[in-house]
Parts: sequence; C-alpha cells; structure tokens
Amino acid sequence: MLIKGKGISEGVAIDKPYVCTFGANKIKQVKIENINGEISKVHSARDKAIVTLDKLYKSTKRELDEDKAQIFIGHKLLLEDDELVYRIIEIIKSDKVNAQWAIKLAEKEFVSMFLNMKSSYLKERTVDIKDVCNRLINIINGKVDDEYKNITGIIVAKELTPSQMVGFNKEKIKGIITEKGGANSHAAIIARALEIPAITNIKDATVIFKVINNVVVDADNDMVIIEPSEQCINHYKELEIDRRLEKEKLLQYLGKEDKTKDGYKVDIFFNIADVNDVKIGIKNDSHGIGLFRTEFIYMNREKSPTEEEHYKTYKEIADLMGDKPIIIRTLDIGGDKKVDYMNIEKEGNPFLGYRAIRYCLDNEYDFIKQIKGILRASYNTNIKIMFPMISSIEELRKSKEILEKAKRILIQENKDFNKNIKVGMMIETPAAALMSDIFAKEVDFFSIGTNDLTQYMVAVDRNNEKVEKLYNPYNLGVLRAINMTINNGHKQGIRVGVCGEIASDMNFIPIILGMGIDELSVNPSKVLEVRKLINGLTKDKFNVNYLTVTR
Amino acid sequence: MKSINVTVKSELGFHVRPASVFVNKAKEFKSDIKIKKGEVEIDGRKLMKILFLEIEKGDNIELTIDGIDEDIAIEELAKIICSK
Repeated sequence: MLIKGKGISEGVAIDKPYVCTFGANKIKQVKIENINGEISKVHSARDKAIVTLDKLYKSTKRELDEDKAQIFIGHKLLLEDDELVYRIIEIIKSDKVNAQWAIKLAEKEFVSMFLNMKSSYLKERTVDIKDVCNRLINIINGKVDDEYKNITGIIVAKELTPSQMVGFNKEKIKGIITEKGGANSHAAIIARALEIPAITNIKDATVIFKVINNVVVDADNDMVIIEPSEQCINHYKELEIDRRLEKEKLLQYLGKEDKTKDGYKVDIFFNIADVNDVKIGIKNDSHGIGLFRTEFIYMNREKSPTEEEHYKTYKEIADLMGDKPIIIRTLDIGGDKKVDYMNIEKEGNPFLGYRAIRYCLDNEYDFIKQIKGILRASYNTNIKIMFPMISSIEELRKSKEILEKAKRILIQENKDFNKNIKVGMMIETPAAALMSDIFAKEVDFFSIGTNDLTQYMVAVDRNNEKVEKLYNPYNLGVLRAINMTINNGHKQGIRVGVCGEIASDMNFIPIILGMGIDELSVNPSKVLEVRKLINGLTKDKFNVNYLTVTR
Repeated sequence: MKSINVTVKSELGFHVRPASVFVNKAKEFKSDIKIKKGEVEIDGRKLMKILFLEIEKGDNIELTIDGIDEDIAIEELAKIICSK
C-alpha cells in the first residue's frame, strides 16, 4: 500500500519500522502531601536539565554546526526563564499533585497558547515546549538520555523533537517517518544534515506501523510504501545500493591527487559563501578556496560592515584552512544582488550598470575597510585578494592603488599583514579577456568567471526567456576568450583558474583541461565528483584545434 | 535611555533560535532591555515572553534600552533582530 506524504530530507530507504511512542509516556496524577518535596524535585530537575542542554549544545555544535546547536540554548533559556517553572510550581501548590503531573498540565497550557498563534511556524514550536517538559519528566523518573541510542531501522513517530533527533545513533537509523513536522522543523534540518531520508504528513503513522514488518521511505517521490511486494523491494534495494555505492565510490577519491591519467595537475578548489561551505569543502578533501564570495557579509544588515567584522570573518575561515590558499573576492554587489543601505538606484540594465568594482571605486571609504580586513587576515595565512568585474586597465590600477593605500594605513596603525599578498582579478568581461595579455603583467593570477563572461560575450540576459537559449558557454566566441586568457596568463607565468558554474560541468571540463587550465573552483559538495573525472581523463587527448575550425 | 524601531527580516519571524541568540546576548548587558510590539511591552531577557509576542517577518518592533551600557547594547541587539 502506498501513502502519500511530504519528503523533507531526500533519499530512499527500506527497512523495518520502529514506532517510537516517546512523549506519549503515561503520566499518572498522584495527590501528594509533601508539596515542598515535589517543588524541590522540579528545581533539581531543572538544574540537571540545564547542565545536559549545555552539553547537547556543545556536542551538536561539534558534530553538526552552531546553527543547529542553537536550539538547545533556546531550550535552556525556556527553563531559566521562570515562566514555565513557576507555572509548574503553582500547579503543584494549588492542586497538590505530583511534579510529573504538574509538568504535563503546564505543558498543555503553554502548548495551547502556542497553538492559538497566527503564525504556522510558531505553532510548530510547540515541539520545543514538549521537548523541554519531557526532559524534566524523564529526569524526575530517572530515565537516562541515551535510551534512543539502540534504536535501528526506520523511525516512526508523531513528531520528533530536537533532543530526540540528536539522541539517535546516526549509523543505525535508515529513515524517518513522522505524522507532523514541516520542512523547517529542527528535526528536518538535522535529517538533511545527516543525509537521512525523511517523510512527514503520514497520518496515524504511529498506529499503522505498529503491525508492519517492512516499509519503503521514498522521500524523493513524497511517499511511503507499506509491506512492499518483492519486486518493489528489489527495485528500492537497487536504488539504495546505487546511491550508496555512488557515494562510497566517491569516498575512494579522498586523499587522491588532483591529477589526470597523464600526470597533469589541476587543482580542484571550492567556492564558498560562508563558513558552512568551508566545512563541506574540507570534508571533501579540497586543498583551497578558489572563490570566496564576500557579499554575505554585507547582506541583511542596516549599515556596511566594519573593518573588524571583515577581519574576523576572514580570520575564522583562514583558521579552518590552515596554510591552504584562499582567494577572497572583494565585494561584487549590484547586478542581481542588492543591498538596501547602499542606495544603488534601480537601473534599467543592472548587469551593465553600477556594480562590483565600479561601485567600490566610487565608495573608497567602505572599500578600504574590506581591503584592510583582508590584509590583516592575510598575516601568516595564504589569503589572496581578487578584484571583480574589471573592464579597463585604469580600474585595475586604481584598485591596486587603494590596496597600497590600505597597506600604508596599516603600517601607520602598527597592524600586521602580509606585505606580499598575491593580487588577482576576475576575467568576466570581454574587454578583460581581450586585454588579458596586458593584465597578465599586472596581476599574480586570473580567475575566469564563466557565468558573466558568457552573458557578456554572447550579449544575452540569462533571465530573459526569449533569448536564454542563446546563453551558451560552448559558443566558439566564449571558448576562444577562455583559451586566449589561459594562453596570455601562461605567457607571463601566472595561474589561471575557472570559478563559474561550468567548472563542475562534466562535459566542459575536458575542454578547459585541453586549454591548460590550472585550477577549477567548484561547489564544495562537487569536489570528489570532479576529482574522479579528472583522475580518469588524459589531457593530451584534448587538443584545442577545434577553436579555429568552422564548418 | 535609548530607543530604536526595527523591522524583523528573518523569513520565519523571531522564532526560537534567533530569539534565543537575542536573549543570550541581552543577558550580557547591565541595562534594562524592553521589546515592544503594538501596545505590548515585555522584558527582553525572557524567551517565552518574546515568543508570545508572535513577532513575524516584516513586523516593526521597538527596542528600548536604559542603563550604563545602553549604547553598545542597542547596537548589538538591533543587529540581531535585523539579521536573517
């Protein structure tokens, strides 16, 4: 039988369901005489819970990340708040009941207050109240936290609390089925981080699955299949194996060199937008950051970031990367990326408008803050600086002047930095590609931004449906521009990389490999896939004769 | 005393995680910290009270801080409310 639900963490799994009835633990009402005894049970349970939550925060932060761990700080604050604990104590006093019963009653009151809210997201937060209350009850009942450690198979539950999610043994859990809990629920976020397939909105799951021996979770197709036929089982087993093998096969490429069959070295670096991306890139054994998009530092705030904020952000990432190279691209705002406080007016044609280096050179005061932050973080690290959207020699020279000015200020301020920081530029305008012979004498490296370069070479707005089919990085003009840039760079002995989307395009890589590209900077999750491809290619087979062939 | 009006930008409103970041930060300061939405004003150090304000994306809330470290407090706390 097939039941439709909603996939909240992709993948497929097939196993025996395990119905978890936690939270539904039967609490009995007991009339008590010793009120103070019950109250002190609540206080001591609260103290213990706070200690445990601190530990959970730390371990989750270590295993997943800060963002996913923060929820346990929230739970801790709910306990420290008094609001909840006072209500529990009031109930004990007025009703003369046991602590567990009072907690359950208080939980119900708070849950119903949340359920009365308009926001559906806040309604979902009842799960946090339940989680905190369950924790108190379990402590009073002497239940230990690791009771979920031995559960195996496919978890079936009404809904899962953050504590339960991090309490499972991740190696033993194959999939998750819940009755409720949205894609934004903490359980869903953790399931995705752990790559466990999960599906929700399966009505009465905890009842139905009690008597079931086998279930398929197909989160990719938003469904579960109960007691699947042999044929169905085989189909899903194959799928499951394929996925796993694919992943495992890629794991073989951990520790392998970024070299072709004939020994040609192409560095496979990764692009990042924040610290999380860095962790993924490192996990996938990449040896450098080829493009650090710094826009996020500027987004979602009221005014531009300070030098100190820049410095701290870059330093945090440099500390994770050790002595590996990090190419930091200065602000590339404008175009389709907007920041309120910068007052970049609405433009008829933003991609040909006031963006990136054009904006920065006009706003030197803010530009220099970023450059100083980069310079300071470059001290004793392998940070390089890169300027985007250069279309004239003057722009590059002006940018380098500001860099030198920033250095002079830092010397006056007695702050350390790498005096020989490597300076590079993006090649993403046709003008820059055509002048790459000149530019190559003035910078230490090039990075080709293929998305913008293609758009400007073929004069196509990617967001315009009528012409988007003309947006083609295989256009001979684009290929020639890339080839020319690589050749001109190599003539001056500088490195040339590609950081656009096509750097991880399996069909495009052989072409740029043939041209002699030094570095591919890809999405951090694609590193091993690209390494696998590179390891299997022979560079010599890909000559660039086709660049002159016309039919 | 310092006061500022801020608009919540987080897609899901001022829910448990951002609100707990806020309360944690608020506890570092000595000043009185109040959050007001509409006519209701609450203690900015109480997570449950903040949640019951039902602050959603686009809501305008008033942050009022009174005490010796109000300057730094208002800057840091407003930043948290404004972040996504």
